[in-house]
Amino acid sequence: MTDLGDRFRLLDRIEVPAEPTFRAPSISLLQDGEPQSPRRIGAIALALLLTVGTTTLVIVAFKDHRTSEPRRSSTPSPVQQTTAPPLLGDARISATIPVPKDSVSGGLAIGSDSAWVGFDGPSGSGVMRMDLETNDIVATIPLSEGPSRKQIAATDAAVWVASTGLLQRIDPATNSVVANVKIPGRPISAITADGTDVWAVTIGDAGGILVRVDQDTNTVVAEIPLGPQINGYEDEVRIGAGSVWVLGVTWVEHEDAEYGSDLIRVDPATNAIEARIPLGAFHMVIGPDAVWVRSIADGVFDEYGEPRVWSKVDVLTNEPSDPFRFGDDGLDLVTPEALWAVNYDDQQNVRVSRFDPQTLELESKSRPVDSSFTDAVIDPISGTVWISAFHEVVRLDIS
Amino acid sequence: MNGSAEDRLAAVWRQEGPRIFRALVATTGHRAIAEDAIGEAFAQALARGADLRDPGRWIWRVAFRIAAGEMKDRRRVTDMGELDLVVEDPETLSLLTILQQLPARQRTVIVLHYYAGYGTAEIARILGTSPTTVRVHLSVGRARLRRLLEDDDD
Repeated sequence: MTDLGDRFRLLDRIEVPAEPTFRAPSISLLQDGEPQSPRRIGAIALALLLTVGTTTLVIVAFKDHRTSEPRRSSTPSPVQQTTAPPLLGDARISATIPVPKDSVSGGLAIGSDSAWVGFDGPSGSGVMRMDLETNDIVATIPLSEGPSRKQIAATDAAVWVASTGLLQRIDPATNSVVANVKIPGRPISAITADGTDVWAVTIGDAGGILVRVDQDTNTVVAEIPLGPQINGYEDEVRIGAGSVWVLGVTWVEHEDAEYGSDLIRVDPATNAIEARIPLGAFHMVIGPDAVWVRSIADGVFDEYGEPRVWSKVDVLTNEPSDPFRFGDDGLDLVTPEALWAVNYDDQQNVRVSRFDPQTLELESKSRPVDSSFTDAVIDPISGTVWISAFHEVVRLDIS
Repeated sequence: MNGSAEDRLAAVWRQEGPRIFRALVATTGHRAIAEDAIGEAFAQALARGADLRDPGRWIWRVAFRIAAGEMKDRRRVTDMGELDLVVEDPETLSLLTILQQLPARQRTVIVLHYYAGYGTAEIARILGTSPTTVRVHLSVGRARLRRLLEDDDD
Protein backbone atom coordinates (compact mmCIF):
# COMPACT_ATOMS: atom_id res chain seq x y z
CA MET A 1 0.00 0.00 0.00
CA THR A 2 1.28 3.45 -0.87
CA ASP A 3 2.03 6.01 1.78
CA LEU A 4 -1.06 7.69 3.12
CA GLY A 5 0.28 11.11 2.17
CA ASP A 6 0.67 9.98 -1.42
CA ARG A 7 -2.79 8.49 -1.41
CA PHE A 8 -4.31 11.73 -0.24
CA ARG A 9 -2.85 13.62 -3.16
CA LEU A 10 -5.69 12.01 -5.07
CA LEU A 11 -7.88 14.65 -3.50
CA ASP A 12 -6.25 17.22 -5.75
CA ARG A 13 -8.34 15.69 -8.51
CA ILE A 14 -11.50 17.00 -6.92
CA GLU A 15 -12.71 19.73 -9.18
CA VAL A 16 -12.90 23.16 -7.69
CA PRO A 17 -15.68 25.12 -9.35
CA ALA A 18 -14.31 27.38 -12.03
CA GLU A 19 -17.71 28.73 -12.91
CA PRO A 20 -20.01 30.57 -10.56
CA THR A 21 -21.75 27.80 -8.76
CA PHE A 22 -22.29 29.20 -5.32
CA ARG A 23 -25.56 30.78 -4.46
CA ALA A 24 -25.94 34.41 -5.36
CA PRO A 25 -27.15 36.72 -2.63
CA SER A 26 -30.82 37.40 -2.83
CA ILE A 27 -31.61 40.76 -4.30
CA SER A 28 -34.13 41.15 -1.58
CA LEU A 29 -31.28 41.40 0.86
CA LEU A 30 -30.52 44.75 -0.63
CA GLN A 31 -34.06 45.89 -1.01
CA ASP A 32 -35.92 44.89 2.09
CA GLY A 33 -34.97 48.05 3.89
CA GLU A 34 -33.63 46.29 6.92
CA PRO A 35 -30.08 46.80 8.13
CA GLN A 36 -27.75 44.19 6.73
CA SER A 37 -25.78 42.08 9.09
CA PRO A 38 -22.02 42.35 8.68
CA ARG A 39 -21.98 38.81 7.41
CA ARG A 40 -24.48 39.49 4.70
CA ILE A 41 -22.73 42.67 3.73
CA GLY A 42 -19.50 40.72 3.72
CA ALA A 43 -20.98 38.06 1.54
CA ILE A 44 -22.18 40.53 -0.99
CA ALA A 45 -18.98 42.52 -0.90
CA LEU A 46 -16.85 39.45 -1.28
CA ALA A 47 -18.88 38.36 -4.23
CA LEU A 48 -18.11 41.68 -5.84
CA LEU A 49 -14.48 41.54 -4.82
CA LEU A 50 -13.94 38.16 -6.35
CA THR A 51 -15.87 39.01 -9.44
CA VAL A 52 -13.85 42.04 -10.31
CA GLY A 53 -10.61 41.01 -8.68
CA THR A 54 -9.63 38.17 -10.92
CA THR A 55 -11.09 36.12 -13.64
CA THR A 56 -9.60 32.96 -12.22
CA LEU A 57 -11.70 33.05 -9.10
CA VAL A 58 -15.09 31.63 -8.76
CA ILE A 59 -17.79 34.00 -7.72
CA VAL A 60 -18.52 33.36 -4.12
CA ALA A 61 -21.82 34.43 -2.77
CA PHE A 62 -22.95 33.01 0.45
CA LYS A 63 -26.24 31.96 1.79
CA ASP A 64 -26.77 32.28 5.48
CA HIS A 65 -25.25 29.19 6.93
CA ARG A 66 -26.43 27.80 10.17
CA THR A 67 -24.88 25.07 12.18
CA SER A 68 -27.95 23.29 13.39
CA GLU A 69 -28.56 22.24 16.92
CA PRO A 70 -25.57 23.75 18.68
CA ARG A 71 -24.31 22.55 21.96
CA ARG A 72 -26.60 23.20 24.81
CA SER A 73 -25.63 25.54 27.55
CA SER A 74 -23.68 23.96 30.31
CA THR A 75 -25.28 26.09 32.98
CA PRO A 76 -27.21 24.28 35.66
CA SER A 77 -30.69 23.42 34.63
CA PRO A 78 -32.66 26.47 35.64
CA VAL A 79 -35.74 24.43 36.17
CA GLN A 80 -35.59 24.55 39.90
CA GLN A 81 -38.52 25.58 41.99
CA THR A 82 -38.69 29.29 41.52
CA THR A 83 -40.92 32.12 42.45
CA ALA A 84 -40.62 33.58 38.98
CA PRO A 85 -43.93 34.00 37.18
CA PRO A 86 -44.88 31.42 34.58
CA LEU A 87 -43.16 31.97 31.27
CA LEU A 88 -45.97 31.95 28.81
CA GLY A 89 -45.19 34.92 26.62
CA ASP A 90 -44.19 35.10 23.03
CA ALA A 91 -40.47 35.41 22.51
CA ARG A 92 -39.57 38.86 21.28
CA ILE A 93 -36.15 39.96 20.08
CA SER A 94 -35.21 42.84 22.35
CA ALA A 95 -31.50 43.40 21.81
CA THR A 96 -28.66 42.52 19.50
CA ILE A 97 -25.22 43.05 20.96
CA PRO A 98 -22.14 42.75 18.73
CA VAL A 99 -19.14 40.81 19.96
CA PRO A 100 -15.59 42.15 19.58
CA LYS A 101 -14.98 42.82 15.94
CA ASP A 102 -12.48 40.13 15.23
CA SER A 103 -14.11 37.40 17.25
CA VAL A 104 -16.77 34.74 17.18
CA SER A 105 -19.05 34.25 20.15
CA GLY A 106 -19.20 30.91 21.89
CA GLY A 107 -20.63 29.45 25.06
CA LEU A 108 -23.16 31.29 27.19
CA ALA A 109 -24.10 31.25 30.85
CA ILE A 110 -26.21 33.40 33.16
CA GLY A 111 -25.11 34.42 36.65
CA SER A 112 -24.51 37.48 38.84
CA ASP A 113 -27.22 39.39 36.99
CA SER A 114 -25.16 39.07 33.85
CA ALA A 115 -24.85 37.08 30.68
CA TRP A 116 -21.33 35.71 30.19
CA VAL A 117 -20.32 34.91 26.65
CA GLY A 118 -17.12 33.29 25.53
CA PHE A 119 -15.44 34.60 22.44
CA ASP A 120 -12.56 33.44 20.35
CA GLY A 121 -10.64 35.29 17.70
CA PRO A 122 -7.25 35.68 16.15
CA SER A 123 -6.51 38.50 18.55
CA GLY A 124 -7.29 36.42 21.58
CA SER A 125 -9.95 34.66 23.56
CA GLY A 126 -11.96 35.64 26.56
CA VAL A 127 -15.34 36.22 28.11
CA MET A 128 -17.67 39.17 27.72
CA ARG A 129 -19.96 40.21 30.53
CA MET A 130 -23.29 41.79 29.67
CA ASP A 131 -25.63 43.42 32.13
CA LEU A 132 -29.05 41.76 32.13
CA GLU A 133 -30.76 45.09 32.75
CA THR A 134 -29.05 47.32 30.23
CA ASN A 135 -27.60 44.77 27.81
CA ASP A 136 -24.36 46.76 27.99
CA ILE A 137 -21.03 45.00 27.79
CA VAL A 138 -19.66 45.90 31.19
CA ALA A 139 -16.45 43.91 31.07
CA THR A 140 -14.27 41.92 28.74
CA ILE A 141 -12.03 39.42 30.46
CA PRO A 142 -9.11 38.06 28.43
CA LEU A 143 -8.14 34.49 29.12
CA SER A 144 -4.74 32.90 28.82
CA GLU A 145 -6.40 29.75 27.56
CA GLY A 146 -9.36 30.13 25.28
CA PRO A 147 -12.66 28.46 26.04
CA SER A 148 -12.53 24.82 25.05
CA ARG A 149 -15.62 23.47 23.39
CA LYS A 150 -17.30 26.66 24.55
CA GLN A 151 -18.02 25.46 28.03
CA ILE A 152 -18.99 28.14 30.53
CA ALA A 153 -20.86 27.81 33.81
CA ALA A 154 -21.92 30.74 35.97
CA THR A 155 -23.28 31.21 39.44
CA ASP A 156 -23.57 34.33 41.54
CA ALA A 157 -20.21 33.54 43.11
CA ALA A 158 -18.12 32.57 40.15
CA VAL A 159 -17.90 32.07 36.44
CA TRP A 160 -16.05 28.98 35.28
CA VAL A 161 -14.58 28.58 31.84
CA ALA A 162 -13.24 25.26 30.61
CA SER A 163 -10.25 24.99 28.37
CA THR A 164 -8.07 22.00 27.72
CA GLY A 165 -7.28 20.45 31.06
CA LEU A 166 -8.00 23.68 32.85
CA LEU A 167 -10.88 25.34 34.63
CA GLN A 168 -10.46 29.09 34.93
CA ARG A 169 -12.43 30.91 37.59
CA ILE A 170 -13.58 34.47 37.09
CA ASP A 171 -14.62 36.54 40.07
CA PRO A 172 -17.74 38.54 39.17
CA ALA A 173 -16.78 41.15 41.76
CA THR A 174 -13.55 42.05 40.02
CA ASN A 175 -14.07 40.62 36.53
CA SER A 176 -10.71 38.94 36.73
CA VAL A 177 -9.38 35.41 36.71
CA VAL A 178 -8.75 34.44 40.31
CA ALA A 179 -8.05 30.73 40.09
CA ASN A 180 -6.92 28.04 37.71
CA VAL A 181 -7.80 24.46 38.47
CA LYS A 182 -5.71 22.06 36.46
CA ILE A 183 -7.09 18.76 35.32
CA PRO A 184 -3.99 17.45 33.56
CA GLY A 185 -4.29 15.94 30.16
CA ARG A 186 -8.01 15.69 30.13
CA PRO A 187 -10.19 17.50 27.66
CA ILE A 188 -13.25 18.85 29.41
CA SER A 189 -16.38 18.01 27.48
CA ALA A 190 -19.05 19.47 29.74
CA ILE A 191 -19.29 21.56 32.89
CA THR A 192 -21.96 22.84 35.21
CA ALA A 193 -21.92 24.57 38.58
CA ASP A 194 -24.06 25.39 41.54
CA GLY A 195 -23.38 27.47 44.64
CA THR A 196 -20.85 25.06 46.07
CA ASP A 197 -19.28 22.95 43.35
CA VAL A 198 -18.25 22.75 39.74
CA TRP A 199 -18.80 19.47 37.94
CA ALA A 200 -16.79 18.68 34.83
CA VAL A 201 -16.91 15.67 32.54
CA THR A 202 -13.49 14.73 31.22
CA ILE A 203 -11.90 12.01 29.16
CA GLY A 204 -9.99 9.32 31.00
CA ASP A 205 -8.15 6.27 29.77
CA ALA A 206 -10.99 4.00 30.82
CA GLY A 207 -13.83 6.28 29.85
CA GLY A 208 -15.43 9.40 31.11
CA ILE A 209 -14.76 10.87 34.53
CA LEU A 210 -16.92 13.27 36.46
CA VAL A 211 -14.63 15.67 38.29
CA ARG A 212 -15.91 17.67 41.23
CA VAL A 213 -14.27 20.94 42.19
CA ASP A 214 -14.98 22.62 45.50
CA GLN A 215 -15.62 26.29 44.90
CA ASP A 216 -14.47 27.25 48.40
CA THR A 217 -11.01 25.86 47.91
CA ASN A 218 -10.78 25.65 44.11
CA THR A 219 -9.53 22.10 44.38
CA VAL A 220 -10.55 18.79 42.91
CA VAL A 221 -12.35 16.89 45.66
CA ALA A 222 -13.68 13.91 43.76
CA GLU A 223 -13.13 11.98 40.55
CA ILE A 224 -16.01 9.68 39.71
CA PRO A 225 -15.44 7.13 36.91
CA LEU A 226 -18.40 7.07 34.59
CA GLY A 227 -17.29 4.00 32.73
CA PRO A 228 -16.52 3.33 29.10
CA GLN A 229 -20.01 4.41 28.11
CA ILE A 230 -18.72 7.96 28.05
CA ASN A 231 -15.88 8.68 25.67
CA GLY A 232 -15.59 12.35 26.27
CA TYR A 233 -17.28 14.46 23.66
CA GLU A 234 -20.84 15.48 23.04
CA ASP A 235 -21.29 15.02 26.75
CA GLU A 236 -23.83 16.77 28.91
CA VAL A 237 -23.92 17.36 32.65
CA ARG A 238 -26.77 18.98 34.57
CA ILE A 239 -27.73 19.62 38.16
CA GLY A 240 -31.31 19.08 39.22
CA ALA A 241 -33.59 17.19 41.61
CA GLY A 242 -30.77 17.01 44.14
CA SER A 243 -28.50 15.10 41.81
CA VAL A 244 -25.93 15.51 39.08
CA TRP A 245 -26.96 13.97 35.78
CA VAL A 246 -24.59 12.98 32.98
CA LEU A 247 -25.01 11.85 29.42
CA GLY A 248 -22.38 11.09 26.86
CA VAL A 249 -21.61 9.54 23.56
CA THR A 250 -20.63 5.91 23.38
CA TRP A 251 -18.28 5.04 20.56
CA VAL A 252 -18.27 1.27 19.95
CA GLU A 253 -15.03 0.54 18.18
CA HIS A 254 -15.79 -2.84 16.66
CA GLU A 255 -19.13 -1.69 15.33
CA ASP A 256 -17.96 1.66 13.97
CA ALA A 257 -21.07 3.06 15.54
CA GLU A 258 -21.94 5.84 17.92
CA TYR A 259 -24.49 5.25 20.63
CA GLY A 260 -26.01 7.45 23.26
CA SER A 261 -25.05 6.56 26.79
CA ASP A 262 -26.88 5.55 29.90
CA LEU A 263 -28.37 8.42 31.80
CA ILE A 264 -26.12 8.47 34.87
CA ARG A 265 -27.33 9.91 38.15
CA VAL A 266 -24.76 10.88 40.76
CA ASP A 267 -25.52 11.60 44.39
CA PRO A 268 -23.52 14.70 45.42
CA ALA A 269 -23.71 13.66 49.07
CA THR A 270 -21.68 10.54 48.47
CA ASN A 271 -20.15 11.14 45.03
CA ALA A 272 -21.55 7.74 44.10
CA ILE A 273 -23.44 6.74 41.01
CA GLU A 274 -26.89 5.97 42.32
CA ALA A 275 -28.53 5.04 39.04
CA ARG A 276 -27.76 4.15 35.45
CA ILE A 277 -30.80 4.36 33.26
CA PRO A 278 -30.15 2.55 29.96
CA LEU A 279 -31.70 4.90 27.46
CA GLY A 280 -28.96 5.40 24.91
CA ALA A 281 -29.66 9.10 25.16
CA PHE A 282 -27.84 12.06 23.59
CA HIS A 283 -29.57 15.07 25.08
CA MET A 284 -31.37 15.96 28.28
CA VAL A 285 -33.09 18.77 30.08
CA ILE A 286 -34.26 18.63 33.65
CA GLY A 287 -37.84 19.49 34.51
CA PRO A 288 -39.57 19.84 37.85
CA ASP A 289 -40.38 16.16 38.20
CA ALA A 290 -38.65 14.42 35.34
CA VAL A 291 -35.54 14.42 33.21
CA TRP A 292 -36.47 14.69 29.56
CA VAL A 293 -34.04 12.72 27.45
CA ARG A 294 -33.80 12.36 23.72
CA SER A 295 -32.51 9.24 21.98
CA ILE A 296 -32.27 7.85 18.50
CA ALA A 297 -35.15 5.49 17.87
CA ASP A 298 -32.87 2.48 17.37
CA GLY A 299 -30.21 3.79 19.73
CA VAL A 300 -27.41 4.36 17.23
CA PHE A 301 -26.43 7.00 14.73
CA ASP A 302 -25.93 4.98 11.60
CA GLU A 303 -28.32 6.46 9.09
CA TYR A 304 -29.22 9.90 7.94
CA GLY A 305 -32.44 11.35 9.24
CA GLU A 306 -33.16 8.76 11.86
CA PRO A 307 -36.13 9.65 14.03
CA ARG A 308 -35.59 10.67 17.62
CA VAL A 309 -37.66 9.57 20.53
CA TRP A 310 -38.07 11.10 23.97
CA SER A 311 -38.54 9.61 27.40
CA LYS A 312 -39.27 11.23 30.72
CA VAL A 313 -37.35 9.78 33.64
CA ASP A 314 -39.16 10.16 36.94
CA VAL A 315 -36.75 11.82 39.36
CA LEU A 316 -38.29 9.96 42.31
CA THR A 317 -38.14 6.45 40.90
CA ASN A 318 -35.60 6.75 38.04
CA GLU A 319 -38.14 4.96 35.89
CA PRO A 320 -38.30 6.07 32.26
CA SER A 321 -41.59 6.55 30.51
CA ASP A 322 -42.43 4.78 27.32
CA PRO A 323 -40.70 6.53 24.43
CA PHE A 324 -42.73 9.12 22.60
CA ARG A 325 -42.23 11.30 19.56
CA PHE A 326 -41.64 15.02 19.96
CA GLY A 327 -39.68 16.18 16.99
CA ASP A 328 -35.98 15.79 16.40
CA ASP A 329 -34.76 19.01 17.97
CA GLY A 330 -33.55 19.70 21.47
CA LEU A 331 -35.23 21.34 24.40
CA ASP A 332 -33.75 24.09 26.54
CA LEU A 333 -36.21 24.63 29.36
CA VAL A 334 -38.99 22.59 30.89
CA THR A 335 -41.45 24.25 33.27
CA PRO A 336 -44.84 23.05 34.45
CA GLU A 337 -46.46 25.52 32.09
CA ALA A 338 -44.35 25.33 28.98
CA LEU A 339 -41.51 23.72 27.09
CA TRP A 340 -39.04 26.12 25.52
CA ALA A 341 -36.58 25.41 22.75
CA VAL A 342 -34.05 27.32 20.68
CA ASN A 343 -33.65 25.59 17.36
CA TYR A 344 -33.57 26.00 13.63
CA ASP A 345 -36.80 25.86 11.72
CA ASP A 346 -37.32 24.22 8.36
CA GLN A 347 -35.89 27.29 6.65
CA GLN A 348 -32.79 27.17 8.85
CA ASN A 349 -33.81 30.27 10.76
CA VAL A 350 -33.15 30.35 14.48
CA ARG A 351 -36.33 30.60 16.46
CA VAL A 352 -37.40 30.37 20.06
CA SER A 353 -40.43 28.14 20.36
CA ARG A 354 -42.88 27.38 23.13
CA PHE A 355 -44.77 24.11 23.38
CA ASP A 356 -47.57 22.86 25.56
CA PRO A 357 -46.03 20.34 27.98
CA GLN A 358 -49.11 18.16 27.91
CA THR A 359 -50.03 18.08 24.25
CA LEU A 360 -46.52 18.88 22.93
CA GLU A 361 -48.18 21.19 20.44
CA LEU A 362 -46.35 24.30 19.24
CA GLU A 363 -47.96 27.34 20.83
CA SER A 364 -45.67 30.21 19.99
CA LYS A 365 -42.69 30.91 17.79
CA SER A 366 -40.42 33.95 17.74
CA ARG A 367 -39.41 35.91 14.71
CA PRO A 368 -36.33 34.41 13.10
CA VAL A 369 -32.93 35.40 14.38
CA ASP A 370 -30.80 36.24 11.40
CA SER A 371 -27.70 34.24 12.19
CA SER A 372 -26.28 30.89 12.91
CA PHE A 373 -25.82 30.21 16.60
CA THR A 374 -23.41 28.33 18.76
CA ASP A 375 -25.12 28.32 22.12
CA ALA A 376 -28.30 29.45 23.82
CA VAL A 377 -29.53 29.68 27.37
CA ILE A 378 -32.93 30.49 28.77
CA ASP A 379 -32.98 32.28 32.11
CA PRO A 380 -36.31 31.73 33.84
CA ILE A 381 -35.59 34.32 36.51
CA SER A 382 -35.20 37.25 34.14
CA GLY A 383 -37.50 35.73 31.55
CA THR A 384 -34.90 36.11 28.85
CA VAL A 385 -33.32 33.99 26.17
CA TRP A 386 -29.72 34.64 25.19
CA ILE A 387 -28.39 33.33 21.93
CA SER A 388 -24.74 33.28 20.96
CA ALA A 389 -25.06 34.10 17.29
CA PHE A 390 -21.56 34.18 15.85
CA HIS A 391 -20.95 37.91 15.50
CA GLU A 392 -23.46 39.00 18.06
CA VAL A 393 -25.46 38.04 21.07
CA VAL A 394 -29.21 38.18 20.67
CA ARG A 395 -31.57 38.68 23.58
CA LEU A 396 -35.22 37.75 23.52
CA ASP A 397 -37.79 38.39 26.24
CA ILE A 398 -40.27 35.61 26.95
CA SER A 399 -42.07 36.76 30.07
CA MET B 1 -11.96 46.95 4.42
CA ASN B 2 -9.12 48.62 2.63
CA GLY B 3 -7.73 47.49 -0.66
CA SER B 4 -4.76 45.67 0.76
CA ALA B 5 -6.95 43.56 2.98
CA GLU B 6 -9.12 42.66 0.04
CA ASP B 7 -6.06 41.77 -1.95
CA ARG B 8 -4.84 39.67 0.90
CA LEU B 9 -8.10 37.74 1.06
CA ALA B 10 -8.10 37.27 -2.67
CA ALA B 11 -4.59 35.89 -2.37
CA VAL B 12 -5.72 33.56 0.36
CA TRP B 13 -8.46 32.34 -1.88
CA ARG B 14 -6.04 31.67 -4.69
CA GLN B 15 -3.48 30.01 -2.45
CA GLU B 16 -5.66 28.16 0.01
CA GLY B 17 -9.15 28.05 -1.44
CA PRO B 18 -8.86 24.87 -3.51
CA ARG B 19 -7.12 23.01 -0.71
CA ILE B 20 -9.65 24.09 1.86
CA PHE B 21 -12.50 23.22 -0.47
CA ARG B 22 -11.15 19.78 -1.28
CA ALA B 23 -10.44 19.03 2.35
CA LEU B 24 -13.98 20.04 3.21
CA VAL B 25 -15.38 17.83 0.48
CA ALA B 26 -13.30 14.89 1.66
CA THR B 27 -14.41 15.46 5.22
CA THR B 28 -18.09 15.99 4.62
CA GLY B 29 -18.67 14.06 1.41
CA HIS B 30 -21.02 16.88 0.49
CA ARG B 31 -20.10 19.42 -2.11
CA ALA B 32 -22.86 21.76 -1.01
CA ILE B 33 -21.73 21.77 2.60
CA ALA B 34 -18.16 22.44 1.49
CA GLU B 35 -19.31 25.35 -0.64
CA ASP B 36 -21.38 26.79 2.15
CA ALA B 37 -18.67 26.40 4.76
CA ILE B 38 -15.87 27.94 2.74
CA GLY B 39 -18.17 30.67 1.51
CA GLU B 40 -19.29 31.56 4.97
CA ALA B 41 -15.72 31.55 6.26
CA PHE B 42 -14.53 33.94 3.57
CA ALA B 43 -17.54 36.17 4.13
CA GLN B 44 -16.77 36.36 7.82
CA ALA B 45 -13.13 37.07 7.09
CA LEU B 46 -14.12 39.90 4.80
CA ALA B 47 -16.38 41.35 7.46
CA ARG B 48 -13.44 41.42 9.85
CA GLY B 49 -11.39 43.47 7.47
CA ALA B 50 -7.70 43.97 7.96
CA ASP B 51 -7.67 42.84 11.57
CA LEU B 52 -7.02 39.20 10.84
CA ARG B 53 -3.36 38.61 11.32
CA ASP B 54 -3.39 35.27 9.56
CA PRO B 55 -6.54 35.06 7.47
CA GLY B 56 -5.53 31.78 5.88
CA ARG B 57 -5.36 29.91 9.15
CA TRP B 58 -8.43 31.70 10.39
CA ILE B 59 -10.45 30.64 7.37
CA TRP B 60 -9.33 27.04 7.72
CA ARG B 61 -10.52 27.04 11.28
CA VAL B 62 -13.83 28.75 10.72
CA ALA B 63 -14.70 26.74 7.62
CA PHE B 64 -14.05 23.44 9.35
CA ARG B 65 -15.96 24.43 12.42
CA ILE B 66 -18.93 25.40 10.30
CA ALA B 67 -18.76 22.18 8.32
CA ALA B 68 -18.18 20.04 11.41
CA GLY B 69 -21.14 21.61 13.11
CA GLU B 70 -23.32 20.92 10.14
CA MET B 71 -22.22 17.31 9.90
CA LYS B 72 -22.18 16.60 13.59
CA ASP B 73 -25.46 18.17 14.50
CA ARG B 74 -27.38 16.86 11.58
CA ARG B 75 -25.69 13.53 11.89
CA ARG B 76 -25.37 13.46 8.16
CA VAL B 77 -24.42 10.19 6.63
CA THR B 78 -23.12 10.46 3.13
CA ASP B 79 -25.21 9.10 0.34
CA MET B 80 -22.55 7.23 -1.57
CA GLY B 81 -24.26 8.06 -4.80
CA GLU B 82 -23.74 11.70 -4.09
CA LEU B 83 -19.98 11.26 -4.15
CA ASP B 84 -20.22 10.78 -7.89
CA LEU B 85 -21.16 14.41 -8.02
CA VAL B 86 -17.97 15.33 -6.21
CA VAL B 87 -15.45 13.61 -8.42
CA GLU B 88 -15.48 11.31 -11.43
CA ASP B 89 -12.00 9.90 -11.10
CA PRO B 90 -12.44 6.30 -9.86
CA GLU B 91 -9.36 6.27 -7.62
CA THR B 92 -10.37 9.46 -5.90
CA LEU B 93 -13.95 8.29 -5.66
CA SER B 94 -12.74 5.11 -4.01
CA LEU B 95 -10.72 7.06 -1.47
CA LEU B 96 -13.67 9.34 -0.70
CA THR B 97 -15.94 6.35 -0.30
CA ILE B 98 -13.53 4.71 2.11
CA LEU B 99 -13.12 7.92 4.05
CA GLN B 100 -16.84 8.09 4.59
CA GLN B 101 -16.61 4.81 6.46
CA LEU B 102 -14.63 6.52 9.19
CA PRO B 103 -16.36 8.35 11.99
CA ALA B 104 -16.58 12.07 11.30
CA ARG B 105 -14.01 13.11 13.88
CA GLN B 106 -11.47 10.61 12.70
CA ARG B 107 -12.11 11.48 9.08
CA THR B 108 -11.67 15.18 9.72
CA VAL B 109 -8.43 14.70 11.60
CA ILE B 110 -7.08 12.33 8.98
CA VAL B 111 -7.85 14.73 6.13
CA LEU B 112 -6.40 17.72 7.94
CA HIS B 113 -3.24 15.78 8.69
CA TYR B 114 -2.61 13.80 5.52
CA TYR B 115 -4.04 16.16 2.97
CA ALA B 116 -3.78 19.60 4.49
CA GLY B 117 -0.54 18.81 6.27
CA TYR B 118 -1.42 20.11 9.68
CA GLY B 119 0.11 18.83 12.89
CA THR B 120 -1.87 17.78 15.91
CA ALA B 121 -1.61 21.12 17.67
CA GLU B 122 -2.87 23.02 14.65
CA ILE B 123 -5.65 20.52 14.07
CA ALA B 124 -6.66 20.93 17.67
CA ARG B 125 -6.93 24.68 17.15
CA ILE B 126 -8.92 24.23 13.97
CA LEU B 127 -11.37 21.84 15.58
CA GLY B 128 -11.49 23.48 18.98
CA THR B 129 -10.33 20.42 20.82
CA SER B 130 -7.15 19.27 22.49
CA PRO B 131 -4.02 17.87 20.85
CA THR B 132 -4.49 14.75 22.94
CA THR B 133 -7.91 14.17 21.50
CA VAL B 134 -6.57 14.78 18.01
CA ARG B 135 -3.83 12.25 18.53
CA VAL B 136 -6.33 9.66 19.68
CA HIS B 137 -8.53 10.23 16.65
CA LEU B 138 -5.51 10.26 14.38
CA SER B 139 -4.14 7.03 15.78
CA VAL B 140 -7.41 5.11 15.74
CA GLY B 141 -8.49 6.58 12.43
CA ARG B 142 -5.18 5.85 10.76
CA ALA B 143 -5.31 2.21 11.81
CA ARG B 144 -8.84 1.82 10.59
CA LEU B 145 -8.10 3.63 7.33
CA ARG B 146 -5.14 1.39 6.61
CA ARG B 147 -7.30 -1.68 7.09
CA LEU B 148 -9.97 -0.29 4.82
CA LEU B 149 -7.45 0.65 2.16
CA GLU B 150 -5.82 -2.77 2.32
CA ASP B 151 -9.19 -4.42 1.89
CA ASP B 152 -9.84 -2.16 -1.04
CA ASP B 153 -6.46 -2.88 -2.60
CA ASP B 154 -7.12 -6.61 -2.29
